[in-house]
Amino acid sequence: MLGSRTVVDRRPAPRWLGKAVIIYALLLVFTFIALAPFVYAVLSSFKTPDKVLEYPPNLIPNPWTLSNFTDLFNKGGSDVHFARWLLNSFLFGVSVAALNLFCSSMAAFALARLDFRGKNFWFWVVLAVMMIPGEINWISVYIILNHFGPFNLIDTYWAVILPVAAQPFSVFLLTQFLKGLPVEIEEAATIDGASAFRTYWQVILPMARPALVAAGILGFQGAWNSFVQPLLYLNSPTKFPLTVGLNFFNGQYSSHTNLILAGAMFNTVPMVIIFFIFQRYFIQGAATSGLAGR
Amino acid sequence: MRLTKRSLSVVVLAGLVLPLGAQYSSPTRAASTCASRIGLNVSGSSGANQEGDIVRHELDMFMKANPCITTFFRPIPTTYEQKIQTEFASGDEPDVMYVSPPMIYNEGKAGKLLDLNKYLAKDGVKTSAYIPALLKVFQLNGHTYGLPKDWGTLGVFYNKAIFDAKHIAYPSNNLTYDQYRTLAMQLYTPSSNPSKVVYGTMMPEDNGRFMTFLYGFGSTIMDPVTGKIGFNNANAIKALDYYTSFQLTDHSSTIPATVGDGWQGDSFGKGKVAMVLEGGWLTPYLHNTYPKIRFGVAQIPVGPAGRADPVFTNAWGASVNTVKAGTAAAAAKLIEFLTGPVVQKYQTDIGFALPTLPALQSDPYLKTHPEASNLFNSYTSGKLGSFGAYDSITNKALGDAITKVILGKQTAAQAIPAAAKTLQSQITAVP
Amino acid sequence: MDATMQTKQAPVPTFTHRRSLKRALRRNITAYLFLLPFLFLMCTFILGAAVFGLALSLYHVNYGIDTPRFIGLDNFRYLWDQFQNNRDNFEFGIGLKNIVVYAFFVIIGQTVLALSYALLLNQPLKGRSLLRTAIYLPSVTSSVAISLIFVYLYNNGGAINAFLSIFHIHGPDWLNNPNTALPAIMIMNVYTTAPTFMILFLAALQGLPVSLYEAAKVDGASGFDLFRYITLPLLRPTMFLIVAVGTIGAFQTFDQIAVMTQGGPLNATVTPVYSIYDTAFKQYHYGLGASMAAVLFAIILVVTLIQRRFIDTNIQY
Repeated sequence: MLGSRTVVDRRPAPRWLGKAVIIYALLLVFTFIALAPFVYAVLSSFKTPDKVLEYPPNLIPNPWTLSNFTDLFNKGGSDVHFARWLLNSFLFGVSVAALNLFCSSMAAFALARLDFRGKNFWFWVVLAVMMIPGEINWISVYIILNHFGPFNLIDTYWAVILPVAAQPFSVFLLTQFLKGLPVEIEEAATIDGASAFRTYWQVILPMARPALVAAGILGFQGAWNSFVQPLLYLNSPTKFPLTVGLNFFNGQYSSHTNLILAGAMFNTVPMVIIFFIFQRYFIQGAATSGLAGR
Repeated sequence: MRLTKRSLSVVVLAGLVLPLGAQYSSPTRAASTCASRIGLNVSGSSGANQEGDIVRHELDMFMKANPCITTFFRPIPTTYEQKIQTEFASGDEPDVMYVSPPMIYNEGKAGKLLDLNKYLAKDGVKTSAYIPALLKVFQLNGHTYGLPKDWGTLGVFYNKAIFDAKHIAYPSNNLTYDQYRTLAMQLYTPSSNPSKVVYGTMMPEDNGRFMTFLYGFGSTIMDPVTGKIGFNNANAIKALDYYTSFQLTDHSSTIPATVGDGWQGDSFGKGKVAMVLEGGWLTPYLHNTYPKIRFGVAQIPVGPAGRADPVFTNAWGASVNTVKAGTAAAAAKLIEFLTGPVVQKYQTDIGFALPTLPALQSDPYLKTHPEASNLFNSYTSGKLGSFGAYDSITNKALGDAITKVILGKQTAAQAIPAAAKTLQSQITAVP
Repeated sequence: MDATMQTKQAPVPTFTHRRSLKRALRRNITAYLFLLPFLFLMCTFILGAAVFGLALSLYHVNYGIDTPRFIGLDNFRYLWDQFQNNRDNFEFGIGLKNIVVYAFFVIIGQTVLALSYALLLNQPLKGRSLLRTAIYLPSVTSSVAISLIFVYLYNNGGAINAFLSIFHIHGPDWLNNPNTALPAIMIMNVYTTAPTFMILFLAALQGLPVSLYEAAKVDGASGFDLFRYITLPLLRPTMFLIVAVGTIGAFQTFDQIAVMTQGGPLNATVTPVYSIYDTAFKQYHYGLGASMAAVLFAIILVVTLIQRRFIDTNIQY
């Protein structure tokens, strides 16, 4: 679907220089707006505690200090486990992304490529469920986790992984993508006597790679950035992700702005790096869902 | 692709297996001979302010004195009360924990907290040893659900350099409200450059500071037991008029945000305001963040209705489930220790908090630190600084009333009854 | 039943029919096996939780403290009563009012900005992908991190007001002034969400038929004409999609409020979700919070259904 519409714009380049200048100027303004807060926050994270709140503020730190970053790791008492929080955030992200890909791609395969009773009903349910705001379920999910069969999942990693491991949007995105794949491939596979699972695993999944990467990144991003669920469903500081851990520095009577800014960088920079690496998939994924939305 | 898949699954597996770290951390200790060993899980709120380490040290002191009881500490960084409540729901609550005033009317009232009276009597600990205004906060219907572990109250923090530059004498412990207002006006230094303005004081738009004036003018605020609103009266209107006149009439005050700060501790540290009403928590913050400032602390001004120092305090308490587990006596012993003379002296001497025992008035630390002893000596005039289950809604209603007057949306005479009406609807009508 | 009748009449097809029945059964089982992991998690943590939440709204619940008590529609009655008689101070009601204003401006803002980004980046320029990356950056950061950064920027003596003072504009005390707090959060939200929607517009723009433009140019259409009469109408489905997604997003605003203003000053930034959180987890009225959640869900459902209807009738191809 996407492959047939090439990403390159074939329209001729702007005829006159003036137009190009205006476009570049506007783009520069937008780029400035997009980057300025980050650049300023990055620079401020190198300022000393008294300079970070200086009025009027200065752009360039004077003096420069790395202590905010080192303090994150070795100051703040025995309850600050910064390296552990970083690791936890990473583990949540990867686990959620992987589990979500597993569940969603199988469901999408069934919804897009198999014929069965109740298919339309379930697809409709997936669409409908997308409208339920997760926020309204905080209370009930807490209780469910507390009595999950014979287990109490509160304060385990499962508590932050399972509730977000099945994302209707991923199913929707993947279903739309899989529907777009040509039928012939699969038919060839079936004639070969391949089982449904082999068709799914060996034929469909490799072809769905762009959508899978996109859904995977969305899943990772959602878990990496999630704040309220870990706050409510986890108790031990050693299990916290970064987003919750950062609150250690945000006390009522002692707000360590310098540490918060430095900590926020650790939350932001990895996502930016992932975005740089997987840019193409981010955009393809978003585009697919956009095209699907029609 | 295949390689990525495999490495992904390894990472995921690692993620699911790794998190087996213990919830409560315990120190490693040499075994000793005991008839039976008792383990206690302990929780408190703790941020990046070393509080967790202080508690750990205190627990070690306890275990040294009681080798047959082992404690396991687990700190809770934010939203402490919510966490504890949900833990009560799943039966995962700690044995011994911080008890905040609202918890008395929630967990306490529902019989989830251990009544300490019996154990105190057995161990010969007199409740009269504690500051009465503090102990009262944790008692309900004759039960004692916690013993106060530390406390704070407001004082006038003043920047000595600003006073010296203006040749104004430092504030005394007996300022009247009128004198405080005059002082703020004298200290106020206007300037055309907004970054050069020095304000006399700050009157933030929250009830934490305002409540002292409500009491000082002779009003009450809220009865946590009955839920009866006490501030719908003329004295409260006078208090609100007084509180807002600093900014509206005299311009000698502003809110921290105007000068770009999150709270007035920062404005004070940077020398943008000469006096602030703050508690003992400001002292370590100033030492850490603004080490250069020279400051003193006086008692808060005295109102027409007398001295009124709102007290802010937390307690140590225990879960009622310790009775079933057979650990209640040990839990009570721990609580008595943590609020007893040894730990209270330790907390005082490291400058962490004010002691809850009047007996420590003669402690050498307080003798040599007037900024702490001035705050401590206010305990005789302590007034309720928290309102049980109605704490957050009361503070919000009154904080909003201040904001409305400052913004000119309402007069004090309108804002006080409106706040009472809002509060009343929240108290009575909720099903 | 059907099968047996066929057996009597025509023995030969029986075999194939039974086989096809069997095959259909197996097909169904296979399909449901594929669906199982997802359905289990979805039914537990989304659908089940939502139904459970709806049930909670009929109870007085102080979770962990008392046993839940069935009170019928009392929670909803309370909400209705507060909405009628205490509108000025009713947090949830104010939240609903705020979120309508918020959604209106945020959706307009993010759509316009996203379209501008996309139109500019759709030009064949050097360094286009680098610029696109830079502009997309605000979208990948977490709402917590971005909120913490913006608290710092919106500070009265912070960078934004310092920047404005260059142009001799005296910036307000953004987050502490009831008149500017909500707009400040709106601006931040537009800033962080527009790049996501830019991608949708870019994809749509690149999928537009080139031939149409060439034909129009032959007819002597100006650049603006092309935009007005070809691009905009063809982008309409994408635009409706963005409005729909944006509406749901706006109605769920929470993290920013929790980190930046806690609903203040004077309830100026209270959102329905924040009010639910406040009621359930701070004041321990779990049942009342659940009833607010039910009301919010009903509103989102109605708005979405209306929008969907609107989108369906407006699809042009």
